[in-house]
Amino acid sequence: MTRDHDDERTLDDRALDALRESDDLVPTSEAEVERAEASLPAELELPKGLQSYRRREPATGNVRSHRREPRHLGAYAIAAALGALAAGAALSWLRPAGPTPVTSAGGELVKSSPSAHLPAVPLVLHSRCERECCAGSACKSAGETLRSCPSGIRCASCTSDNVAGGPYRLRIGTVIVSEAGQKLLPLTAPLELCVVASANDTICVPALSEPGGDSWRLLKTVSPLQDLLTGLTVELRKRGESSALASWKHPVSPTADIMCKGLAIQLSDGTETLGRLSAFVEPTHFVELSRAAAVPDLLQVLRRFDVNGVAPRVYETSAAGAARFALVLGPLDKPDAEALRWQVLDHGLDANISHGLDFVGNPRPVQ
Amino acid sequence: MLSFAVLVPAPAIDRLSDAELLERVSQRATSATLARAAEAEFYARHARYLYGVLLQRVRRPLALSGREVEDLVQETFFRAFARAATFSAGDAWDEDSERRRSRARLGRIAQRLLADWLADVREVSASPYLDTLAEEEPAPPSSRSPKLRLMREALDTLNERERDVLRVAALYFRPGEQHQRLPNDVAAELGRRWQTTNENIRAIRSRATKKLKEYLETRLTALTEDA
Repeated sequence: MTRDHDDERTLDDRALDALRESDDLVPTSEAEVERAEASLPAELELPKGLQSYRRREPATGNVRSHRREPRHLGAYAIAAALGALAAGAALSWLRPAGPTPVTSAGGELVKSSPSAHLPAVPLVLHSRCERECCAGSACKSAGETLRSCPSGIRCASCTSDNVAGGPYRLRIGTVIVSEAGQKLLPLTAPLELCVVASANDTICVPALSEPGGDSWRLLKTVSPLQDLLTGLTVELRKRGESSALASWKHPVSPTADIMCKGLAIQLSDGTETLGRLSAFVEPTHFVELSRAAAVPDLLQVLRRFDVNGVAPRVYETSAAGAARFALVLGPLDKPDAEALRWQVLDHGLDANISHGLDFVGNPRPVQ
Repeated sequence: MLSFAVLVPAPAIDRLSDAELLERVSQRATSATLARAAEAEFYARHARYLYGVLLQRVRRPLALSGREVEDLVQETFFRAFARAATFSAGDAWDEDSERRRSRARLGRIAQRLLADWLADVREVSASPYLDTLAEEEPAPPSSRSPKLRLMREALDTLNERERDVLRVAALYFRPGEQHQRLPNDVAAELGRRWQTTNENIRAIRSRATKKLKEYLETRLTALTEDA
């Protein structure tokens, strides 16, 4: 081993210690805990969801969570257990199973075996569309031009709710390069569309359509309403560079018109329009009823509900283990999501509202 | 001969030590009610602390995984209770020491979970550091060490992006290994956050380490010359 390598290792060791000492990391020794205790604000309150421990059974039947156990459990034992559990999972379709551990949002729904004696919990979305609406296929009072929406939205309220509304997610298309853009843009270089979605969050995706790539991309971030109202910024950049080749900045108010038709974005270098693209502003509140390692577990949870007015869906997520699949209602706007969540809570069960940022791919409709 | 049964009331749950609570939790198979009460008491003692430190220190890296601090708090307690039987009070001799020991353990579990959530399972489980994280007490560094003090100064010279990258990289640190590797998924997430590529994230990390090294070398040379 060379001296340089030794030096580097010592440096890494020391950097880790310094990060610990600087209280940059989670305290993992008693000395660090002591310092952390002293630095906690006295007025810190637990959020509602953490006021008490939401108990769930240890995941004895959970294939994916076993994969996450440390290696000292024995790699071979885990492999054998995985095989047995996979077979068990297949059998569980065929016969009534014992309580199956399900996690996360539906903390109280952990025992997912349905009981024939329990009445289904009614969940009814009394959409704002029933009270007032201006756009969408489900909106009877929508004008001719706002009845059929390119965004696919079924119901958009007439006014954006500047207090309770948002955040929203953006779905953006690829850039259509203008004639001027063909001449002025370095089209042989990889180009990115960067969206300044909130005050401290910029997301970049490939700008031009790629063979086999999605032409519509749902950005993995949310934009608070205030940031949209202040001005949404979209920039065309060379990958890895921070300077913009062309840009567009405009305040965006999620009115019925915008929610229905989307945004027509023209990227300009200040003189010429170099490219155009469309973008949609979408509601992004999901009522998460439960998460689980396997879809059948979620379908069992769903049997405890009688859902009307909104289609339940199962999304695969980027999380592993017991949080891999999510049973959700949505996407909805915030007031509708809140109202549905309270219906669940009123029955002594639990549900979370998420923005679905870890959802992957298209959902599986389940009703 | 008469015999008297002396009835000693069981101590109230809030009088039990953390070790005793976790022992009860580990006996859930024989007494689910007692185990539930013990879980609730242990949670009540430490939830606010854990939520507070996680909120202060890991909210940003946690956001890369698309989860909330609340999720991490819940899952940390769940793991702690699932492995309650492995808890050792060690040589904690007073209430404060025991409380801190429990919290350090919760911290190790949370740190491990965070790393787990941020990266691909295979890559993370390959890390011996993480395999031992939940069980081992790391040796506390001595803050009086002049080299450590210099290193803290050196960290302060880094910009927020470099420090952020090092902070996340620290989750994957493998003691004794020549080449510390940042999992691809994590580098990609950091890249998205800082609007750059995976390769550049690795370059940022390398540059930050070089900066630290240069700062240390300069100052240590000065210290030696002064001495």
